[in-house]
Amino acid sequence: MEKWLNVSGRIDSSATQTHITYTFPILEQSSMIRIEFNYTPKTLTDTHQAKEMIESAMLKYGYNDPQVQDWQKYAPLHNLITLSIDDPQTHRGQAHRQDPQQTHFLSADHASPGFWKGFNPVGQWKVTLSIHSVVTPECDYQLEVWGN
Amino acid sequence: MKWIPSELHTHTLHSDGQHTLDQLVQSALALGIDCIALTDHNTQSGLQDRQRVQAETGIHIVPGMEWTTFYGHMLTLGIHDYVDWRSYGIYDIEQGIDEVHVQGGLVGIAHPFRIGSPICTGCYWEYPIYDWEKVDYIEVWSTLMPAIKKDSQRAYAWWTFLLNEGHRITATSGRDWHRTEDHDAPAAITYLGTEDEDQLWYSLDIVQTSDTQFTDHVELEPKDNSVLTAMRQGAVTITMGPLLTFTAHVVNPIHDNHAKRYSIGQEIDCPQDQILKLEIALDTICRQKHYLLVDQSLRLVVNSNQGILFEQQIPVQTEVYDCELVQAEALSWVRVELYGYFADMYSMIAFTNAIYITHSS
Repeated sequence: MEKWLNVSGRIDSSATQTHITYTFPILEQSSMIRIEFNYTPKTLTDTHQAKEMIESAMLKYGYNDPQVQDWQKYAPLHNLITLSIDDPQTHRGQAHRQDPQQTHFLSADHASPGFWKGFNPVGQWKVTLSIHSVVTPECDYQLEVWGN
Repeated sequence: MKWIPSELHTHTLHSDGQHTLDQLVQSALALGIDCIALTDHNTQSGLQDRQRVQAETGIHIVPGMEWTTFYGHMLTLGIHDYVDWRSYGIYDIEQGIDEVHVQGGLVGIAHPFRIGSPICTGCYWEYPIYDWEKVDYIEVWSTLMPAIKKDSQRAYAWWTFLLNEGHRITATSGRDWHRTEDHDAPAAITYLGTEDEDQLWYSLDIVQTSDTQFTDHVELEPKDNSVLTAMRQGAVTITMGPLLTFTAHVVNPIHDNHAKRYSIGQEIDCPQDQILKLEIALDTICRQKHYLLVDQSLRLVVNSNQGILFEQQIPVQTEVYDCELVQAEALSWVRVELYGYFADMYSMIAFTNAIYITHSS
């Protein structure tokens, strides 16, 4: 397989609740497209920061019952980035899950969970990273698109 | 009226569920569930197996999805094509709802009071709703043993507030089913009522469905119409065990057109100075082997926009109870609730959706 896209980035909490979309051309018919995606770190290990963020959320969402103030019930906090794919003609699906390392395949006969199988048209493709949450000071991600 | 035991909020490996659709359906069948909605987070790709699984098992699978957005989770049912949540901001949700409705689908607010970001992304409903006519249902009971959970209690109170404001919104339960374990606590069941479509539900075989040539297209089936109609009409009753239903009619109606019995979700006209009679049915036989309700004195309650109107201690057995409401003028809705011990906890065991009341002069 050939590597058609290799991008990476570093984001912080200001990217929370944003989308990053990579639009790129696929110029040859490809029977199989493979996408490798990972981000790190996954988990906020600083318990002091975690306690502060969780208590703030508990207050915001009305979970600050003085008798049930166990912030640790919600620890640890995680970064969450989900990936979705649009081919030039249609939405191919999304992978909404916690795994910080993901591999996805798209072909006419098979697609990995979250995606629709189907032929892979030539044209402008989009991969969107939906940044649900960045709780660590920084988060690095890497995205590769492979085809044949 | 035929009541279909259903589970309207499920996930598979296509999002973050830990079971396949086949495994989910086997677990549902083991609980006496006849219909599920597949509502994976932000994808409908799990429906690629729908036709095969339905044919193999006889269960009905309603196409759905859970919009898992930054500001709220919204369930969609009966959608043909993917509607893109990514393009809508916190003030735009009603545009997204419109897109679902254009396709004939329904939207429901999922677990509106579950703690939100960054603990659970978008789990708390933060979208402002300007037009409540657009919201078809609210999942007021969520997860296992919902009645004892504070977020479900808050959702139930919110739904009651909205009914009091004059909005007619269907309430549902949703297990938010991600995995099945041996010693899971009990889940609630959402019963969907079908009347005119009894024949449709039972007689039509599965029709030709989704063509895999079209990558995100899902064909609807006749049974979907039964489900969507029940949800739209509010013909829905929720329970941990026994089936709780009721009808309403006017006692000694002046006109024949007031003699009809109205069922859950419908609107009844109760003219001034007329008495409204409810017939409340508790059915402890259906799905009997799938739950345990120990022998006890249960508390049956008729609730309304005017608060509790009637209550009675009743045994655990199939029976019909009458309740006459003599001063019905101030009533705009009534529903029935059942309380008792279930799984060693005292809580609400069942509740119906409302019958809505108008008063012609």
